[in-house]
Amino acid sequence: MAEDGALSKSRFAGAYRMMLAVILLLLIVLFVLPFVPGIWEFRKRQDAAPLFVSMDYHKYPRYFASSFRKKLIDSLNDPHAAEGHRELQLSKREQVQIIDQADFPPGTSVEHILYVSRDLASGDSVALRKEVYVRGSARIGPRNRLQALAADGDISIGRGTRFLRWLDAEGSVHADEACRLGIDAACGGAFAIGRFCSFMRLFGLPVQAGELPAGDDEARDRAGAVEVQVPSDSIERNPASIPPLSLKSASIISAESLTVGDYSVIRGHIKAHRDLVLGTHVTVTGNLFAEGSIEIGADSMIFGTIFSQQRVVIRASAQIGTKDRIKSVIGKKGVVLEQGARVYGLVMTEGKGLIA
Amino acid sequence: MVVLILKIYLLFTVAVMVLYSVRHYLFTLNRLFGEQRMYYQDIVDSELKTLSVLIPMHNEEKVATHILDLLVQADYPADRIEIIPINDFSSDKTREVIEKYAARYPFIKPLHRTEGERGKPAALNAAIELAQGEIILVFDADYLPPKGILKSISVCFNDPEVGAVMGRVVPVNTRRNLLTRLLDLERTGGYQVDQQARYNLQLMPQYGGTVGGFRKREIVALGGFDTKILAEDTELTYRLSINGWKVVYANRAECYEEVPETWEVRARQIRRWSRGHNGVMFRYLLQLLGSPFLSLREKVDGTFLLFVYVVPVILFAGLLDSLTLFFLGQMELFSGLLFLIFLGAYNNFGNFAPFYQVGTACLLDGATQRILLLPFLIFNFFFNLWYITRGFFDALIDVVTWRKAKWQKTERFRKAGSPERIA
Repeated sequence: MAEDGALSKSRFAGAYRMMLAVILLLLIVLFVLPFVPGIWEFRKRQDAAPLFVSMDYHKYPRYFASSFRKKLIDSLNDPHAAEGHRELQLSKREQVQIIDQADFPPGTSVEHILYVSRDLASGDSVALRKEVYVRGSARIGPRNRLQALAADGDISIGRGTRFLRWLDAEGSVHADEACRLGIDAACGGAFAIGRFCSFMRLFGLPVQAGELPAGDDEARDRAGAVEVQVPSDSIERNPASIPPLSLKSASIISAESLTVGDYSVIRGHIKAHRDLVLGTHVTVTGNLFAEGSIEIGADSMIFGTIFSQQRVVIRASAQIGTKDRIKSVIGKKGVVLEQGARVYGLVMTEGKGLIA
Repeated sequence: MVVLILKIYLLFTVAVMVLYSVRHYLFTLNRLFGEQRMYYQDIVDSELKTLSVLIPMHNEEKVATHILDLLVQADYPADRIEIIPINDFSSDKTREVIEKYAARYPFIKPLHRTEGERGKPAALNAAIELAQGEIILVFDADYLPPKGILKSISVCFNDPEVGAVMGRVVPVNTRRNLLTRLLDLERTGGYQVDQQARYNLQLMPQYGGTVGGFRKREIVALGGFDTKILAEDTELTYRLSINGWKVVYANRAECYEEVPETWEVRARQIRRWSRGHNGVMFRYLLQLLGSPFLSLREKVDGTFLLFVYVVPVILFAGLLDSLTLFFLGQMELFSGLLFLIFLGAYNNFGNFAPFYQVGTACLLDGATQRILLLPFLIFNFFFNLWYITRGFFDALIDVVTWRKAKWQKTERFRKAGSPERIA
C-alpha cells in the first residue's frame, strides 16, 4: 500500500512538473508569437525603405496634360511622324494612331491613343476612348465621350459632351451647355463654360460662367478701375455683421457666421468659422476663408483667394482675381458659378462643381 | 492609510490612461472614417508671400550641402525668398560650406554667430532680426526639403488666422537598424493620424520647430523665442494659440529627416523633449485655460497635449504602485465584471491605444509590411517611459531652482556627401 502511495505521489509529481513545463512553454510561445512576423520582416526587409516622398513634386494646375504631352512626344521621338499606327511605351505599351487631320463622322468609336498633327473635328456621339493629343485646334461635336484631350490650339466642346478624365488647351476653351468636364479641365487662355456643365477642377485666364462678353477683356475686367490696397495688418474680431456701405481697413475674423452688407469695401482678409455671406457689389482686397459655406453676392469684386470647407457660390457677374492676380476658388463640397461669374485662376472642388 | 492612497493613485492612473486612450481612439477613428478637412496646398496664387528660410546649424558640415542644394532648387520665385543658414558657433567647416553657397546664390544670406547665447532659440532670434520675409520657415540642417514644399507651406498663410504651419516629417534612414524602423513607426502614427486628426477636428495641431513656419511680425510682437525653454516649438504653439492664432498641420508638405540611430542619442533626444515640453506645461497651463480665443474643445485638447509628457510619469508611478499593492496582497480593488473592465482599461486601452494609431497610420500610408514590427514598439514604450520620466524631473528642477536649460544638439549620422535617398 505504502509503495502504491509513493508511486502515485511520484506519478503526480511528474505530471505536475510536466504540466508546469507545458504551461511555461505555452507562455514563452505566447510571448514570442507576436514578435515572429516582426522578426521575419526585420530580417527580410521587405518594407524597410523610407516612405515615398516625391522630391520633384510641385503644384502645377495643368500637370495632367503637360505630363501626357511630354510622355507622348518623347516616345514618338519625331513630331512630324508619318500617318499610321505605332506601338509606344508610355505608362504601359499603347497603340498610338498618328493622323495629319482628323474628322470623325457621327457615331465613330476610337479605341487607341490619337496623335493629330493638325486639327481635329468630330460629329455627333463620337467616342474617343483613349487620350488624344491635337497639335492644332479641336472642335468636339455634341454628345461625344472622351477619355482625355490635349490641344495646342483652342478647344470647342459641343452640348452634352462628357470627359472622363481631363482636357487641356494651350489656347482657349469653349464648352457648350450640359457638358461634364472630367476631373481636370484647364487652358492657357479664356475658359467659357455653358449652363449646367459640371466639373471638379477648372483653370483658365479667366474661367467664365457663360459667354465671354464681346470686346473682352479690358471692358469687363474691373480691376483696373479700382485701386487695390494691400490688405491691412490690423484685425477686427467677431463683429456681429457688417452693414451695407461699410468701409473697413482691417482683416476680420469671426467665430460665428458673418454677413457683409451690399456695396461694402473691405481692405483686408475675412475669416469666418461658420458661413460667410457677401452682399451685392462688395469689394474685398484680401482673401476669404470659412469653415462653413461662402456666398459671393452678384457683381462683387474679390481680389484674393476664396477657400471654404463647405460650398462656394459665386453669384452672377461677380469677379475673383484679375489678369495680374491669379487666385483660387476652392469649395470642398461644391462650387457653383452663376452666369457671368468670372475667376482668374483655379476653381476646384472635391464635390460637385456646377455652372448655374 | 498608505494602502488607501496607493489604491486611489492606481485608480487615478487607470482613469488617466482611459482618457488618453479615448483620445487616441477618437483620432484613429477620425482618420479611418471621419470627414477629412481640406488642406490649403491646392491654392494657386500669383502673389506669394515673401519667405525667410532659416536653417540653424551647429557643426553641420556633413549635411549642410544637402539641404542647401535642395533649397536652391525649390520652385519659389527667387525674388520672394531668402535663405539664412545660421552658423551657430560651429567649430568644423560649416562656415566655409555656407560661404561657398552664399557666393553663388545672392538670396543665401549667412549669419555667423560667435558670441552671445548658444542654442536653437537664440540662433532663431538672431536670424529673425535680420530676416526680411513676412513668413519665417525653419528647417533643421539634416532635413531634405522637396522642390514644392515652400509653396505648400506658404499658401497656408493666406488664411488670415493661421499663425504657424507644420509639415509632415518622414524618416529617411529607416533601413539602418531596429531603432530607426521603430522611430519611423512612431513618426508615422504621430503625423499621419495624430496631427492630421487634430487638424480635421479643429483642435490644436502642434508646430514641431522644423518643416514649418510662422508669421514673423507676430513672433516679434510676442517677444521672439524664450531661450530658457528647450521646446521652442511647443512654446510657439501655445503662445500663438492663446493669443488667437491657429496652427495648421499640412500632411502633404512632407520632408525627409534623419532619426537617431543609437539608443544613447535617442535617450538624450527624448529626455530633452520631455524636459522642454514639461517646461512649457508648467508655464502655459493656466494661460491656456484662461485664453479668450480658444474654444472649449481646443482647451481640452491643448491640455491633453500639454500633459502628454506627464502621462508616462504617471504611468511609471502607477506600475510601481501596482507592484507594491500586489506584494502587499492588496490588489483586489474590484470584483466581478468591474474587475474585467478595470483590467481591460489598464492593459489594453492604456498601453496599446497608441499602437492602434500607428497601425492605422501604416495602413493609410500603404506600408503593409512594416506594420508587422508593431509589437516591438513595446520596447520603445518602456524606453520612453524611463527617459521621459527623467526629463520630467529635469523640468521640475528647472522650475523650482530657476535653472537655465542648456541646448543639446542631436548627433548626426549621415556621411558627408551622401544624402540617403529613397530606393
